Amino acid sequence: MGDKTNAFTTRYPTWVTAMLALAALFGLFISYHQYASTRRSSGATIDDAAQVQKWAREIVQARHRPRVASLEVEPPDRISRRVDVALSAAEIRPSSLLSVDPQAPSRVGRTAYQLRATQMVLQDLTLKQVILFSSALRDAENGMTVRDLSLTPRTNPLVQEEHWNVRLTLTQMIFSPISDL
Amino acid sequence: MIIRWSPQGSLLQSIAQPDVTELVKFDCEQGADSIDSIERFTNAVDAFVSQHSINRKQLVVCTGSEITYLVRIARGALDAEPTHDSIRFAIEAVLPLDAEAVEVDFLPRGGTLICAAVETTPLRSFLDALEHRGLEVHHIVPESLLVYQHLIAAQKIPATVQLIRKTQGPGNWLEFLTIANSVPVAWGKCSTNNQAFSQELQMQTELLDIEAPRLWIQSDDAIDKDGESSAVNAVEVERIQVDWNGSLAAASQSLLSHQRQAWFDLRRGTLAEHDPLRAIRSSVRAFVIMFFSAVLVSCAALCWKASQYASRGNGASETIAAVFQETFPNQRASGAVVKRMKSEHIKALGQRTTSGGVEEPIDAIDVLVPLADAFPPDLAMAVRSIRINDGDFVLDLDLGSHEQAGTVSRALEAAGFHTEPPSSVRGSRGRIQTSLRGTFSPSTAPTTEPADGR
Repeated sequence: MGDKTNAFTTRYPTWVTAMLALAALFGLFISYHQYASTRRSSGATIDDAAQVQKWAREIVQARHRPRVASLEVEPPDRISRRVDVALSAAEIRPSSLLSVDPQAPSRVGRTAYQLRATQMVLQDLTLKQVILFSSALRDAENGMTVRDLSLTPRTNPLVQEEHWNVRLTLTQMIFSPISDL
Repeated sequence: MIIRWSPQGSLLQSIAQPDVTELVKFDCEQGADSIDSIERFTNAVDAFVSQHSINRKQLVVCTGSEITYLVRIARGALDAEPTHDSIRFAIEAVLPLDAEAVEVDFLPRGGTLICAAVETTPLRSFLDALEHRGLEVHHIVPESLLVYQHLIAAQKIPATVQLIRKTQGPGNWLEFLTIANSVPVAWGKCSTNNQAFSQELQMQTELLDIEAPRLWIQSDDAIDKDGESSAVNAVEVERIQVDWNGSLAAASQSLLSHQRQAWFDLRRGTLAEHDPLRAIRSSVRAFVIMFFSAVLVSCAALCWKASQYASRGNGASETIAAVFQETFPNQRASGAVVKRMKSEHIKALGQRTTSGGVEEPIDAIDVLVPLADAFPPDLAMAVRSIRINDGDFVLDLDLGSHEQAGTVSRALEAAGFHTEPPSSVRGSRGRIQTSLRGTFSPSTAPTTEPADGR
């Protein structure tokens, strides 16, 4: 009995201690791993919070500025409706509208913007009608502007009542980043 | 507990009570290392330990001059740096013993190595038997040297001295030890006759540089019943009474409590090799406790710091959700708030500002209206064409004279247009065909009326 007790006290504590030491080291490793992971994620979240606050300030500031671009390309039926409304607003006879030619959107260089041009040809308009028609087409909320306008007098320039042949391009600017938002 | 081992028998002694001793004699007929002797010895040790409540884990085995030797070896005699192995083989040339049959320890003294050697064969079986019974031998030391080391430390004898003592056990022998500056330099045994004593005395005295006192040690366990020998009486000696058992117990206690290191400790792994760590067990235990404590404290500190970082992270997450809710009150904050916020930020800035070299478009009506208003009203002219492209314009006019081109240009400048010098050619019917190019730049428009009073 005494021998067994001795054998236990002299031999078992060594490997038991070794196992405990290994377990302690493993526990220390786990603790450090958890600490490092928490520290890393916490730091990232704090950085994110600062970044989000900065973005929020810039978003609020941007809201005070007018829009210059749309997020979506306007479909062709909407363009037709827009033209109809503009013709009505400018009291232009439909026969004066010779053509409406929407183009495919094209990217501006390597920027995040696309331009979509719709070329129109009208004839026999007064200058007032041209201005009213163009103003009715313009829609800043959707990035619509009449960027190009060409006026050619239809009648003899010396005649008092001026009428013009008009060629204009209704341009929609679309914000469309290459990478996903 | 101390076991004072000799081939004839062992004297068991308690360290706490030095006067408590028990002699275990070995049967000379069967041999000291016979199984019966060993069994009887270990039984006696067990009984002694139990009877006197002695700690089984702290044993000191003392050896006598019967199996222990002190040898001087010149450093030059060794081929390499002195190590226990190299000295074991060097001793082979000095003592009639195999290198495998001795265990050694040494002290360097100048160019000489003072080496102690013990025969392992007679001891090994006893020590193994003790360890099998759970008795732990911490030190194996030459008994006399241990006692004298203690006496020097206690300043009961000088550091340089020649010591003479009648040995215990059978026979009429004198133990002769020379110590120089607290280092034993010679240890010999000689008979009490005049010639042998004189030779040993002369040989050991030659090893000393200075005159050393000679002390006759009268110990309680080796009382010279016949009185001092005539040989000793022939030289000048000072007699000193030593409590041998008490000094041995005190010296052993100093070893066990690590207060002192023996000159020669011969338990070097070969003997009593069962537990190599026994001498440093307390240090190992302290280290283990400190190690576990350090690990525990480190784990706790890491967990505490991790919880702090987690708390900060949670606060930041709540801030993110609150900022999103404040910026977009009608939207619900989903899991990927940061990604969504980034997307909204890009969209908001992309819709309301332009970047990457893209300029905000200028509506043609914003150019046409001020352009029409800017024409001088009293000027007779004909417009052949107006072309406007993103703020730039080209104006083709038929005018009456070249001067009128300049007038139109100044009028446009006054209205906020930046114009290039007009180019004019005389056309049919005497009309001047003028082409005006310019850019609409309202910010540069003057606030005063033109000087020509148009």
